[in-house]
Formats: sequence, C-alpha cells, structure tokens
Amino acid sequence: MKRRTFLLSATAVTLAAVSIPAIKYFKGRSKHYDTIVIPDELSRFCDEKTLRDIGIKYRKAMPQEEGKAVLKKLLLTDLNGKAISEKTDTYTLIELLDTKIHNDFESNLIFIMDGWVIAQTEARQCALLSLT
Amino acid sequence: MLIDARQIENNTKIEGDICIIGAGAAGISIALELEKTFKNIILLEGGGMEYDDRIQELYNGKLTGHPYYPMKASRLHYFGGSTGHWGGMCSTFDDIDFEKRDWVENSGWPIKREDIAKYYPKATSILDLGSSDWSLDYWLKKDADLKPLPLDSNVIWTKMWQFSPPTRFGKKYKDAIVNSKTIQLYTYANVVDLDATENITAINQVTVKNYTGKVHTVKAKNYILACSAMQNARVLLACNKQAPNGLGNDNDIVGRYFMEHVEIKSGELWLNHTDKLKLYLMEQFTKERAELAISPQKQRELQILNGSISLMPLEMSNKTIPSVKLWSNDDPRKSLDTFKKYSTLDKRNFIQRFFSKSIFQSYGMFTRAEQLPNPQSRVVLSNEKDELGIPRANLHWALSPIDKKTVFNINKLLGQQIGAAGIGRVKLRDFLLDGDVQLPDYTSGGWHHLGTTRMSEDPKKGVVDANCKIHGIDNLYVAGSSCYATGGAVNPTLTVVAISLRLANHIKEKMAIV
Repeated sequence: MKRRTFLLSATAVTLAAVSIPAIKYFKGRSKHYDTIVIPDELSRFCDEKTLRDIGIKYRKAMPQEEGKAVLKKLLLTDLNGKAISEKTDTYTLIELLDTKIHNDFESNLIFIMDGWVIAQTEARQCALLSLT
Repeated sequence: MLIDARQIENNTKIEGDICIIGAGAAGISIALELEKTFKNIILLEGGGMEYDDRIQELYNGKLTGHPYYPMKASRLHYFGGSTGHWGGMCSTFDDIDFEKRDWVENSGWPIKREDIAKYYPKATSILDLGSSDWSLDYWLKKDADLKPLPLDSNVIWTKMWQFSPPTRFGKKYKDAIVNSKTIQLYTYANVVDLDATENITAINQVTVKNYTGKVHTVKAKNYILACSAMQNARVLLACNKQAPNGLGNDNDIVGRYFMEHVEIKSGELWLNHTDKLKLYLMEQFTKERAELAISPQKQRELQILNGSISLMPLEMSNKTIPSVKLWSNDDPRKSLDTFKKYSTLDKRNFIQRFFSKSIFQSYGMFTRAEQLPNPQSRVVLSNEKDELGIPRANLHWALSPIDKKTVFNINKLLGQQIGAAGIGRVKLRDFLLDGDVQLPDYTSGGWHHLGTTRMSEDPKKGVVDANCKIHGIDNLYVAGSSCYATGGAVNPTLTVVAISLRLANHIKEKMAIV
C-alpha cells in the first residue's frame, strides 16, 4: 500500500476515533479546494480556528507572501519549480503537497506557530485558508 | 562492625587505614570495594540506621536564586543516604559529556568516558540493573515489541535507560557492612572538623560529634569525603581554622558550579496513528525504556547542551505538576508521601484508560537537560549554625540562557524530526516561545546535586584532580557527584557509583605503592 493511500485510510479511522471536529468546519468548500487550503496531517490535531490563526500569524510574519494568488502560486509549484494547475486532479495535489511538506521538514523549512512545529507549506496552506 | 558513636566513651580515638566520611551510595560502594584490600576501614555516618528528624534537621538551610526544593528534604541523612528516596532511574554519560566544548563555558573533564565506563558494569550490578549492555540493539533483540520511532539518529537518537528496583543501600548493603570484618561503621558520627598539617598538605585527623555532646577523633592514612555534593562543599568550607577560605578552597571554587538537571514539561507529541510506544513509556514494572536524545552533532551545530525528551501519555502528563511544587515540604517523608499519592493517582487513571487506544495517540514531552556549569550557582555557608555548631549550607541555584536555548532547540528538533518522518506533529509549550531568555520559575531539578567540588587538572579551575584528590592535600579525596565537571543529561547515581569504584581502585593502587 502506498504511504499516501495508507495515510488516507488511517485518517478516516483516526478522525472518528479522536472526534476531531474538523469536518463540520470544512463544509461549504469543495473537497478539491480543501486539499489546497487544509494541511491534511496538521488538521488531524488542530481545528479550523487554530489553522486560521496560524495562517494569520504566518501572513504577518511573511508579508511578502500576502495575497491568495501569491500563496496559491507558491503552493502549486513543485520542487523543481514547475507550476501545477489548480485544476489538476486531487490525488496529484495531495502528492504534491505531501512531498513539499516532507521536503520542508527535511530541509528545516519549519515554522513554530501557536506552538506547533509545522512545515512552511503547511503554514502557507493555513495562510490561504485564512483568506478564504 | 556497627558502632553507635553516641554510646562509646567521649574522646575516643579511632584509627584505621581509610576513613570514609558518609555512608550513601558513594561511601558504601567504596567501603565494599576496599573491604578485601584493607584491614581497617572506618566508615562514618552522621545519622543512624533509620531516619531521625533531629539529624535530618542538620541539613536545613536557606535558598536563594531559582526556586529549589527545601534543603532539609532534598537529600537524606542516615545510613544509605539519598538512596533512601531515589527513583532508580539510570543511564550512562555520553562521550561528549567529558569533552571540552568551546560553546559550553567551563566544560571538559580531565578524564574520558572510557575511564568511567569500565566501572559501569560493576555499578550496574550494585544497583540491581538488568544488564550492563546499554545499546538499543541489545534491548530490541530482547523484546520484539520495542520499536524505535523512525527518526534520523544523526539528529535524535534513542538512549536507553534502566530502572533500579530502586536499590536502597541502607537495606541492601546493611548486613554486608555491619558483618564485615574490616569495615567499622560508626553511626551518629558527624564530621565537624578536618585537622590538617601545618602547611595544609595533608589531613591529620577528623573530628566527629553528635548531639549527645560526645566528640571523637579519627586518624587514617587517607580520607574520602562522600557525603553528597552540598555537604562535601559545606564540610570543606566550614573547615576554615587553618585555611581561612576553607580546605581545598585557595581558588574560591569549593561550593561553586552547583548543577542540577533542568527538568520541565516542554511539549506535546501528536501521532497520526495510535501507538503504545512501549519502548519509550514507563509503567509500574518497566525495567528499561528509551528517551529521545539530542545527537552530539546537533549539540555542536546548535551550540547547546546535552539533553533528552521522555514521553508519557498526554492525559497523564497533563495531570502532573512541576516537581519543584510537588516536593515542596520541608519534611522529606511528607514529600515522599505526596509523590506516592500522585503516582497512585496516575496509575489508577492510567489503568482506567488502558484500553482506550486514543491515549496512545498523544504524548506529553518532558525534557531533561544538562545545566551549564555556572560559578554563580553555588553552595555557601550561612551565618546560622546547626545544633552541632557547624555553619549551615545555603544554596543559590542559578540557571543561564543556554539552559533555555537547549530546551527550546531539543524540542524544536524533535518537532522537525517527527514531521520529517511523517508520523505526526509536535506542539511546544508556551514558555518556549515567550521570548524570555531564562527558563520559568517552575523549572525543576531532579534532586540531583552536582559539581560543588568539580574535577580539573588545573587547581584554579577545579577542586579535585582526575583521581578525585583535592589539589594540594595529599590524602584527602572527594567521592560522588560533587566531582562532576559537567552534569550530563542523565540521573547521577549510576555514574556516582562508577566514579566511586574508580576512586576506590585508585586508593588501592596508591596504598599498595606506599
């Protein structure tokens, strides 16, 4: 089983088990869009309010990345600098963001926001969420 | 042989080959190690065979600086010493702990880890630990359920700990000492003076006293001070008739560099799957467990001290209160009762939730770190005297900005590693992000008293040399954690026993030559 597939399966079980109230917050947006603005792993531990708070703090810390378009562009660029279309399939988006997050941690591109040690990509997702 | 110094004739003159002052882990280990080599070993214990509050009161003193445990309660003054209340947690020092690190002021021992490590196996046996093999591989082979987290060992490595029952030296080694043909144990024999030769290059005799008013003297070829870091410093400082600054204190180092281990709840580990983390958890009958330790490479790179993180289910962790608040009673028996009460409560809650898997998804992170050797952190003499007329010891515990920097970086690194491994996220506690360079007041120590007669080959930088002999005094040695030049990030008892065995072997060699 691929790691991503495993994680997706495990997420469903875990979400039920720990009753993280994320789902109710995420109503009203497409699942596809949520893939971009909701950091998957972090959202297992934080509710949407916390994610938005993190996003606001990140935007304050990184004013040069202010704006939906800038953030989207940064998020939808792969590690080789190639732009990925927002309309690409959800699976590809998940793979892209997962890879970027992993790479951020490996490269120490991390931020501490509301106490959470997170990847820069996750912080950018939160920033975009806070503008949504 | 056991002799109660209250019962013998006043002004008794006692003679022996070796005089060991203090019958705790260090003193008892040395006495038993020397037992077969010498015919007459004098072991002096200030207290009796059981707790005596009047004796314990001799340890009372005042605190200044960073909040600390009551002086009267944080060590025990009877046969067996502080092993009467220790928790049994043991692990070994690392190579880097002995190194001179240019980013750690006053670091560096005149010996290497291997000089101590060869005594770890015997110390392991004395402390009733399961194995002298401290490698992760050994424990993984023993138990297939132990699984390390998939972290980069160049950043965070898995350091093994073992748990002593805990061995109470006062119980376990009582018969061996009392029935020994070569060890004379004197109880209620508090050292009140060390009489030196005129030029203070050797000790002539020791004066002991107890609250009956009886005074005795002890003459020996060599003397070993083994009565805990605070008391070793106090005795040396108080012996100031011939040396105005105290014995071994020509360079004003005795009592300085008091160190503890910085201990504090520091964060939360949230896993994206439930995992009992058996390797890392401590339960009632756990014999071994691992901690997540910062690698030497990262210590160098980040210019921080040594340290590690232990884990416990977050539900339990959230119920714990800082040790400095928990063990705040002046009476050591009451502090122990409080500790037991909280332990029982935790166990009950733990059992109730044992079958709830969700408790194995989130863990409280607890950091234990080395403290910078700081000359301002010190034991000093008080103007107030105890019942036997000896100035009391006061403690000023001082921490440094690098102590906080260390705790912050260890926790941040673990967060980075957990994220890189894709197994969850780490949340740091607020105090790590408050911008203050000092750790908060509720930062606790572990009842680990270290460093007041630190080891160095340079008399200007240390009180004892590499053999634990006081600089300039030919026959006076110090045993135990007061000799530590740096504190490492592990509880001290295993190394106290190892370094004491090393001293005992040095004495054997020295006296064989003489």
